[in-house]
Amino acid sequence: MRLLEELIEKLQWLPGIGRKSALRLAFYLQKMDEAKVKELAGTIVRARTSLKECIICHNLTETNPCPICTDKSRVQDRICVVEQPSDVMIIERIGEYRGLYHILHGVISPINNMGPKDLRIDSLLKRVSQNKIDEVIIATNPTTDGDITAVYIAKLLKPLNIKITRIARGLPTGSDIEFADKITIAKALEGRQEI
Amino acid sequence: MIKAIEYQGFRNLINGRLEFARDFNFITGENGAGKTNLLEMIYYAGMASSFRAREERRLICFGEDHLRIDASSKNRQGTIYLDHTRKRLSLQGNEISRVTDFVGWLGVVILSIDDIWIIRGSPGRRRYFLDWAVARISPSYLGNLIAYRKVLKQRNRALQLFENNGNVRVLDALDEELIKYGNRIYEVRKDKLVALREYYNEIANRMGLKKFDFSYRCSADDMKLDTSQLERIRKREIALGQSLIGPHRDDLYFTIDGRAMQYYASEGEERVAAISLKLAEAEMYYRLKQERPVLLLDEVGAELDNFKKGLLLEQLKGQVFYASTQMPGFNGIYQDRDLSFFIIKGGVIEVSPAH
Repeated sequence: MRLLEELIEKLQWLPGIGRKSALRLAFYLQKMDEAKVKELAGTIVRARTSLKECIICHNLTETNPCPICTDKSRVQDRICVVEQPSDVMIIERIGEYRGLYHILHGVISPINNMGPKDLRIDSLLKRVSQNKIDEVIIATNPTTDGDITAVYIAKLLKPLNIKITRIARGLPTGSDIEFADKITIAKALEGRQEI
Repeated sequence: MIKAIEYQGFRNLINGRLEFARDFNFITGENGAGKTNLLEMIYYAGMASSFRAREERRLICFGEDHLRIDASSKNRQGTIYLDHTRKRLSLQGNEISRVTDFVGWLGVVILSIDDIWIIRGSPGRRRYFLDWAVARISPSYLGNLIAYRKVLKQRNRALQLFENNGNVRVLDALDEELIKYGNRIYEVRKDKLVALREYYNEIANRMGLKKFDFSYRCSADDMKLDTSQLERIRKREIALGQSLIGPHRDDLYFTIDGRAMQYYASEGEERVAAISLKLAEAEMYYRLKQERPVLLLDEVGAELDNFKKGLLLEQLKGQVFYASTQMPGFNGIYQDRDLSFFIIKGGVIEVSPAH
């Protein structure tokens, strides 16, 4: 049973996995086809060893620079700044945005000892000043830290005289004001636009 | 107004259902019988939080695995279910996911003997009172307050870390966010304080013989934060590792006949001030919502002389719950009104025939 205990212990290294979930996963893995388990383990190891940060946008990629950065059909003068690689996946799935990305890998948070130096901000500044960039869209999360980071980047880029925008927040489309929560409605009113 | 409540597993109260009188509900019983628990339950039904338990799970009766409360007003119904892992709120039978959307379906204001600490205690106590009095009538205020506190925490940390590897631009960004949320809080406070003070003066001066008043002591110039003020004090803030101006450093200054209440008021006068402040909060709620909040009075009259007790009863508007070991003398105030009497003994609540 020592091996099983070790597996349960190690599965808990993953975020969101507590003792109970780890137990369930460990027993499930035992029931699975051995070949499938090997395939899973192999993919985990391969992904971890061959995925690297893109030297331009810092997204995770197998090729460097990444496919988005090398795609000439994309709008080259627009950069969307996000917190995590997973944010890129979400925006890409929608398929509406055709510009480039820049991934910060975190947000400024003095409490967690995260400063600008711990993020990919210097390279953003370099990228924007060395290329013909028309607009930087700051799409950090609408949290306190996301907002602080957005303000920080906006102040940093301001001397470059380019368009800097922040993604809007408010009511989800198709929803009724009647069913939205109070804070969302207040935010939506705050961010109102002239029509 | 709360018409009825059905409850299971709340504190020491034995499961049951109660119907309340429209005007005055008198709750009596010996110490420890559960008078405050009943008031707490009514408060909880409306606010989804307790005014005394820090840990909400403590509200669940010892030995039970959950509590459930169904309360109804004239045309609304709120339900709270709480067990050791989750809390479920619903209004009119529809589940509500955010507490802020639940709070306020039933307006409640609690008056207790501890309110004297709003006057006597630390500035934090007064800010807490002010913030909640405003937040319950302005949901965006609560949102801004929460955001402000988060920014403040980050900013204090950034100030403390500044000497080591400080970044001026990070402080600038934090300043901007602090100013943004701080000024939103100031805008609302400015507006509501005018009303609160007006009602406070009216009520207190009807109850006391001296002139009661309060003013707002603001750490920022003219109740407004800006970059020039923050720049001026930045060195000191870095040295102390603390944010020195903003809504979190302000205070209410209470006076009696123009002099500091803390030094010149008797205990009775402090109690009058505390009661008046809470009733002013209720009045503010009423003016905005056009609906009187339920007033919960926990032994409030006990420390007042009979004359003041009479004056207090005259000030109460809307539905009242009055918990005390002693029946107050009505002097005809509640003649021809709807009254109920409840007796609590060991957690069992019984309706008693009118006195």
